[in-house]
Amino acid sequence: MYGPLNLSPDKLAHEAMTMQRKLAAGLTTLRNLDDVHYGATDKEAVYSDGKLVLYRFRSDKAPTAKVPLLISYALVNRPYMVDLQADRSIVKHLLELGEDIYIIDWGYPDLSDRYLDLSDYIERFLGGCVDFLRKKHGLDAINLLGICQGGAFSLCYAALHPDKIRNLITMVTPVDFHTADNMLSHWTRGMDVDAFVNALGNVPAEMMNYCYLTLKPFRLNVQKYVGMTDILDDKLALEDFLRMEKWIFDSPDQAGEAFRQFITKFYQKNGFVEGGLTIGDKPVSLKNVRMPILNVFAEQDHLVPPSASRPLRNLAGTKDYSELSFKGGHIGIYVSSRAQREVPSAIHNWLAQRSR
Amino acid sequence: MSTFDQGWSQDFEALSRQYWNAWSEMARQAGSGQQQQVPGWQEAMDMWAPWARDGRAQTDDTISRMNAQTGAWFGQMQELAKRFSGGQSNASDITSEWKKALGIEGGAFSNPFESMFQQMSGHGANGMDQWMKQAAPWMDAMRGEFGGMFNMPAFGLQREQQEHWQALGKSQMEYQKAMSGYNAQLMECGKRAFAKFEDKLAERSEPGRQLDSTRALFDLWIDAAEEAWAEVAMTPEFRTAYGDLVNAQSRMRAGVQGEVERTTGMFGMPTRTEVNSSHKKVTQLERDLRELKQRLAVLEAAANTKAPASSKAAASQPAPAARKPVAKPTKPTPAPRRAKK
Repeated sequence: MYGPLNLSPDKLAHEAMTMQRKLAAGLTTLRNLDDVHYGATDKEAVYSDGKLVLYRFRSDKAPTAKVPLLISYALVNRPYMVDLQADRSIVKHLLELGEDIYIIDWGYPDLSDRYLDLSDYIERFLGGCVDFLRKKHGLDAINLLGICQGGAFSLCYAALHPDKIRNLITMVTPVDFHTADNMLSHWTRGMDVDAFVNALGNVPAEMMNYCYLTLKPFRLNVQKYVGMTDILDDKLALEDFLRMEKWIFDSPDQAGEAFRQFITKFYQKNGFVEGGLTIGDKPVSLKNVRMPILNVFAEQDHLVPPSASRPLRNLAGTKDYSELSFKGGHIGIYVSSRAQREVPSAIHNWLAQRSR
Repeated sequence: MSTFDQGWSQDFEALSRQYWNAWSEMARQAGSGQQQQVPGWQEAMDMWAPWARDGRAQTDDTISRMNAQTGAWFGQMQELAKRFSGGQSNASDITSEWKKALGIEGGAFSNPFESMFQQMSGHGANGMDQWMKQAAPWMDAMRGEFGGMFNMPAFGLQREQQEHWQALGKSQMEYQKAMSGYNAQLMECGKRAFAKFEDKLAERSEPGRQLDSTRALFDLWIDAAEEAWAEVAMTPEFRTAYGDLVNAQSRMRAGVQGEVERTTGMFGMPTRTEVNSSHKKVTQLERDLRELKQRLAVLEAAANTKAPASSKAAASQPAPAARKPVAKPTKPTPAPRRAKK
C-alpha cells in the first residue's frame, strides 16, 4: 500500500536549504544585475502623428527586400516584444534575412486621447503609416504584419484598402471572438462596456493587466514567482526574467472610445464572423482581403486560441492563404528559441515567394 | 566584504543554523508523534525580501510580487509536506490537512482564490475591489449620514440632493450583492480545486509516481487549482457574475464621480465632465481639420491639373499657403511618456 507522498525530514530539510541558498545567492545576483534594457536593434523615427511614432529598424547590411514590412502591434502592450533582446528578436532575424522593417509605436494614451476611436487608430494612424511608406518607397502597396489586436486592425485596414497592402501576415490574431475556449471573450460578453468606459474614461493599464493575469491566476501569480527561486543564482536568466516582467507590466492605458468599440464590435458582436462590422462609417468585410495572407498562430495560446485565428481561412477573400501553426504560446511566439528558428524564416520565405 | 554582505551573511548563517538544528530535530523525532517547529519559506522570505530590494523599480516590483504571492502559499505547502514526512499518507488526509492549512475548519469554507486575488490587487494590479476599498471611508460616511433615507420619498429644497444620495446608496448595495455573487463563483472554484487535488494525489499513489518534494506537491496543487478555475470561469454562471460585478462597480463609480463633481462644482473647480467635453471637441475638431485638409489637397491637385501650366495669370497669383500636414515625416517629438529606448 503506497501513499502519494514519499517525503522524509531529510529530503525536506535538503530542499529547504537548497532554496535558502538560492535566496542567498540571489542577493548577490540582484545587486550585480545591470539595468535591464529592452529593444535590441537600433531604430530611427521616420514619421509621427500625435503620440504615434513610426520607426525604421537599422541593419548593418542594406535590405534586399524591395517592399518594406510594416509591423502593427497591439495597443494593450508595448511593441518591443518583437525585439526584446539580442537573442530574442524576430526583428533582428528578419533584418538579417534582408527584410526592411518598420514598426508602429502607438504611445501611451492619456485622457486627452479618450475620444480616439477605432477609425482614428485604423484609418488615421495605421493608414497614415501605410501611406507614408508607400510614398517614401514609391510603391502602390506595402507588406503588413499585424500582431494580436494589431492583426485585427490590419485585417480591417486591408479590407478597407486592399490596393494598398501587397501581402498580409497576421500573427496570433483573433478573428472569431466567440469560440468556446476563449476565456477573455466569455467574460466580456456580460459587460456593459458603455457604463464601464463612461465611468473610467480611459481603461487603466493596471486593470487590463489584472484581467490578463486572472486568465491563469495561480500559474501567473504564484507558481511563476516560486519558480523564480531557481534562477536567482543565474544573472543572465534573472535579467531575462526581469525584462519579461517589465514588458508584462509596462502597459499603456487604453483610449476609452477605441476600447469601447473594440469590445463591442469584436468581443461582443464578433464582427468579422457575424458581419455588420464598420470602422467609422465604412463597412468592413474580410471578403475584400484579397491579397496573399500568412496566418501565424500559437498552439498553446491562452489569450488568442488557435480556434480564434483559424477561421480567417474561410472568411478572407484571398485565394492565396497559408498557415503557420507554432508550437508555443502567445509570448513564446516572439521570444522562445524555437520562435527565433522558425518564425522569421517562415515569414521571409513566404514573402520571398511572393516577390517574384 | 561590504556592510550589506556582512549583514546578510550573518543573518543567513543564523537562519541556516536554525534550519539545520530544527530540521535535524524534526528528523530525530520522526514517528514520535511530536510536531517540531521549523523555520520555513515564509520566514526565509520575510528576512530575504527587505535585503533583496535595491531601490530599482525593475527589481523591487518583482520582489514585492514574489513575496506577496509565494510567501503564504508555498510556506503553507511546506508546512503540509512537513506534517506528512516520514509517515504513511493518503490523498484524502493530505487534502483534508491542506484545507485546514488554508483556514477551513469545521465545515466552514474559506476561499483561497479570493484571498489570492486580493493579494494581486494590493501589488501593482488594480482589481475590481481595490477601488472599492479606497472609496470605502467616503462611502461609509455617506451611508452613516443617509443610510436610513435610501427608500424615503424625496421632496423640498434637498429633493435632488437626496435622490442622488439614494441612488448612490443603492448602487453600493448592488455592488456588494454582485461581489457576493462573484465570490460564490470563486468559492465554487475552491471546492473543485480541492476535489481535483485529491484526485491527482490519488493518481500518484504508486511506486515511481510518488511526490518526493514540497515543490512537487505545490505544483500538483497549482495544476488542480488552474484546472478548476478554467472550468468554472467558462460557465454561464461565472460570466453573469463577472458581468454583474463589473457593471455594478461602473454604476457606483459613476455615482461617486457625480457627487464629487457636484461638490467641487460648488467651489468653481473644473469637473471631469467639463474636461471630457473639451477633449471630445478637440478630437472632433482634429478630425474635421484633417478631412478639410485632405479635401483641399484634392481640390488643389484638380485645379493644378486643369489650369494651363503656362498661364501667366496663374503664375502671377501667390501660391496657396503650403499645406501643413498634421502628421510629420520628420524627426518626431520626444519619445512618448515612459517610452525609454
